[in-house]
Amino acid sequence: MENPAHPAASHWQERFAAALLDAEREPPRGLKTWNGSDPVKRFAVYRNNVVVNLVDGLCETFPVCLELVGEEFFRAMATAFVRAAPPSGPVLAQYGAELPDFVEQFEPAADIPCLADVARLEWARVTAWHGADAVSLRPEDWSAIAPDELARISVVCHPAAAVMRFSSPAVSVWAAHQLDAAARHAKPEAVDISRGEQCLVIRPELEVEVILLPPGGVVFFERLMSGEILGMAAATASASDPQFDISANLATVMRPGIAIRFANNERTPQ
Amino acid sequence: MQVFSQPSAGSRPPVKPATGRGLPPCAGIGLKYQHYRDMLCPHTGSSSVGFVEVHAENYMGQGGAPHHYLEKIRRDFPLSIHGVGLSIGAHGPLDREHLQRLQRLLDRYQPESFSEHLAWSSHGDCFYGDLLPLPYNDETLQLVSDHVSQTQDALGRTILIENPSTYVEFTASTMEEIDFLKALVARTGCGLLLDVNNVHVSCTNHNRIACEYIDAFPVDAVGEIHLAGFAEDRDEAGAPLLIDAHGSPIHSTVWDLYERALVRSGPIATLIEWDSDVPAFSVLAAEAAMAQSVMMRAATTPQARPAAILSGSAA
Repeated sequence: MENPAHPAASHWQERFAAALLDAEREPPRGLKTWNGSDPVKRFAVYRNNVVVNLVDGLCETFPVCLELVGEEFFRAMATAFVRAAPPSGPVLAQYGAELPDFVEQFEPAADIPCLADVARLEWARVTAWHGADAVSLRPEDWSAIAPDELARISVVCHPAAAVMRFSSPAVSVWAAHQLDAAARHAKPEAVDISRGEQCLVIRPELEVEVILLPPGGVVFFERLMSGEILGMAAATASASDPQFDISANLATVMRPGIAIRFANNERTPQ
Repeated sequence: MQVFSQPSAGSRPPVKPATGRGLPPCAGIGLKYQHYRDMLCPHTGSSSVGFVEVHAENYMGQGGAPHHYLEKIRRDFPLSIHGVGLSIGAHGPLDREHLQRLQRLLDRYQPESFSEHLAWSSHGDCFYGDLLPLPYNDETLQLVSDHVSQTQDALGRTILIENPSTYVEFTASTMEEIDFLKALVARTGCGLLLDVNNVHVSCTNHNRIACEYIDAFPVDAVGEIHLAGFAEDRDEAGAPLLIDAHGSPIHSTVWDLYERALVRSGPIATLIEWDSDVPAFSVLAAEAAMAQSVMMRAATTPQARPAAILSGSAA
């Protein structure tokens, strides 16, 4: 980025910055030490700080991925990610969105099932954690709706709510890692890794919740979140999945963290 | 505090005097999410905490727990917001979007103090998440002064600039760090944040005498002090190389330097920084209590300067 007011500074900062993430590159010229020792060792403090700070942040953001592959593997993978895709801005809560796709392409992780999908779920949880606040509809708001009105209602969804679909059982794998070690040991569960799962990630108040969707739920909630009325969303979901369970899905819609108000009550199905 | 001025091209920023003493002259702690509930609980000793400080960039999400707790805690405690991402020493222009995010944050929480670093942390479109060093010369002084003035114009307030921990020096430097900081204060009207741990780390790393650094520091411009722990390494020749790690108790040498600074300055808001391996709240509270007692002792030594707190209130 050229700054015409301060042209000369570009050279050393450019070189300094380039050498931070590339251990093969010579540190910039013009560094000195009081005792004449090789500045490479001292420059390595900056190299180390940059990578360790960013990798530490990714470890906090993706704790289940870390558990799945072990700390050593995860840190090596995260270091490769940091070198390939360093942050583009100073708000590090936003750093890591691209890690799941990186994991998917990361050759040494190719035979670890679900890893990229678990990373996607963990990223969705961080996004929900920082998402905007809103007050959910209360049970009494829902009970005020006449049963024959329900199909014609559409809702505005909570800004922190998201629907996730996976081609792997990422939700079950993630959930198994929320148990403590003893519970996990007591409940070994064979997971069919070819089975895709879908979930909602919501944040009704301060805590993020992950809700495994009942059959047909993903289409239903995707439609609902795009503003479709309940009746239409249910019809589409039912058409796409014969097992669509209307009552289980409706019960889920009424949970806090999903709908924040009614909208377009007058709209009728075409 | 929040009288916003229109950015004026080229003119000196219409900022308030550089006392920077918006924070009360007592000991505070860096607020970590692990301690949100401790801060709000009356039985944890949180009432003896004089103020809290947060990293600005950790509160730039839209909602959720960080803002929920900071809103509540801010009602009961004076607040310092400490930026770690503005990259004031970067060669490129300041990140306007980031300045706007900062302004929104300051508008929302109305902190008693906002501070940033004499360092750079981004280059081009890449952010490095570390505080990187600068040579000290006329050219970098101009660059940093311009950026500090632009920041103060944009935020409509005086900011504090922190002395860094550094691991290398530059052949291109033509002035001492203290002279650079003094010139920066004179040019921009900014205040300073004296990080005593950084003084010890940098002076050790560059074979300078920390007491002399403290004795020469322009304490009249200091609005806040930072204390933290460091880690120890060795350079290529086996000389001590200290790392500003913020993951351990404050070292006795740093306590001594702190007291030395306080005798010169009078009581000044002092922060316990502990950012990695965050301990129990009680450990931080005990370090803060220690800082408070050093502050009291320094104020009563014969050579102590009269308490600036009695004359200088919030700007």
